[in-house]
Order: sequence, then C-alpha cells, then structure tokens
Amino acid sequence: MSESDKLTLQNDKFSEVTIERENVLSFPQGLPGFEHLRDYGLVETDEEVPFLRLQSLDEPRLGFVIVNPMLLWPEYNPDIGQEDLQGLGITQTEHLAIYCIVTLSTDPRQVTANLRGPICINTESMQAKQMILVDERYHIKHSIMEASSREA
Amino acid sequence: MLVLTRKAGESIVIGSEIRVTILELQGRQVRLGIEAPSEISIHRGEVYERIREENERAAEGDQRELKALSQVLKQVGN
Repeated sequence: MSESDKLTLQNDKFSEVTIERENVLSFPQGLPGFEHLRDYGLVETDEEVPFLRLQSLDEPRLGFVIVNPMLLWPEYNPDIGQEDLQGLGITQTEHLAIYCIVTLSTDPRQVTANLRGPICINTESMQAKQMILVDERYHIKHSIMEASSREA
Repeated sequence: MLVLTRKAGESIVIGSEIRVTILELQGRQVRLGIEAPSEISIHRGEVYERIREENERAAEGDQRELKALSQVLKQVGN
C-alpha cells in the first residue's frame, strides 16, 4: 500500500495513529453531540485489543474508544429498526458490523460501554450511524469489568 | 410551544424541506412519517439527549485510561 493510502493524525490524548483509507468510515449525520464531524478512521492496534479507536479525521483531537459488544456480551442482540438499517443501505446482515462506544475512566471498574446507542456500519459502503435504540433491555452504561469477569 | 391539532393523513410542514405526516393512530400510539433532507438526523427524543451526553463524556477518554483497562482485563482473562 502506498503512503497516499494512509493518513497520519496526531491526537494529544492518544499516541499518533495511522489510518488506512479503506478503514475510513463516513457518518452522514455525524454522532449525537458531534453532528458536524462526518469522517472517522477505524484504528486497531495489538496493544489495545479488544478495543478499537474511532478517530475523527476532521478534528484530530477527537476520538472515541469502541468495542465489539459481542466479545463482552455474547447475548447482545439489539432490536434495530428495519428503517434504520435501510437508511444505511443494509439489506443483508452480513454487511452489518456493530460497535459500542466505551466511556473510559481512571478507575477501570467505572469503565462502561453504551449498549443503547450502538454504532452500525455498512461494511460494504463504509457508511455508519449511531442508532438510538428503543430496546429497553440495553442501557447507556454497562460495566466492562463486570462483563469480562463474567466471561472469564 | 406551538400546538396544532391534526387528523390521520394530515401533515405539518416545517420550513420548506421538512414534512411530518400523521400516518396512523392506534390506541396510545401515533405513527408518524417524516420527510426531510438526508443530512438532517431524526431520532426518538427521550434517549437522544442521554446518548449525546454520554458521547461527550466518552470523547474525554485518554490513552492512559485505555492502557489501565487493557491491563486489568488481561489479568482477569488469565
């Protein structure tokens, strides 16, 4: 891959990241609270497994940590509206990837994942949207430590 | 707050590009159809604010916190 296929961004809260163009996601409506920012890079590093980073391309200081919820909550099965999936152009579930945003804390026990607002990605078009579920089984804060000790 | 009374099949227009139509009334539920430009995001109201606040908190995270978490999780896994 040539250098032009990669973007390098400096984020003062995280180490420098390199984003490959094929890992660039577009949120046509942005994220709630960050509606003006549309393009993000998906960054995966070995040290941070199972977490990934969603790094804004427009605002290098802004990034989120995300996780595949199925790794911590294998039974996670959000009821995502058909209209919401159609809006992303998803007609087959094999083109759907789901991640949840992690809220970090200095105390690992206070770290939570937002299972109520999953990020859905159309892996073919790389269009994405944060869904706002009506599904009341899931909440905005689910403890990651609790989930991982249950799994172990 | 502007309050308007509408029947099923009737609509309201907001600006020149947004139209909200009352599609169906069923018991305590109302089904709405919304036509708006695709760049306008439309969400169910109650949870939206809480998700927005949580996104703002999540954006405050830093590398040290992520490292600490990864280490603790590795210990749990071992």
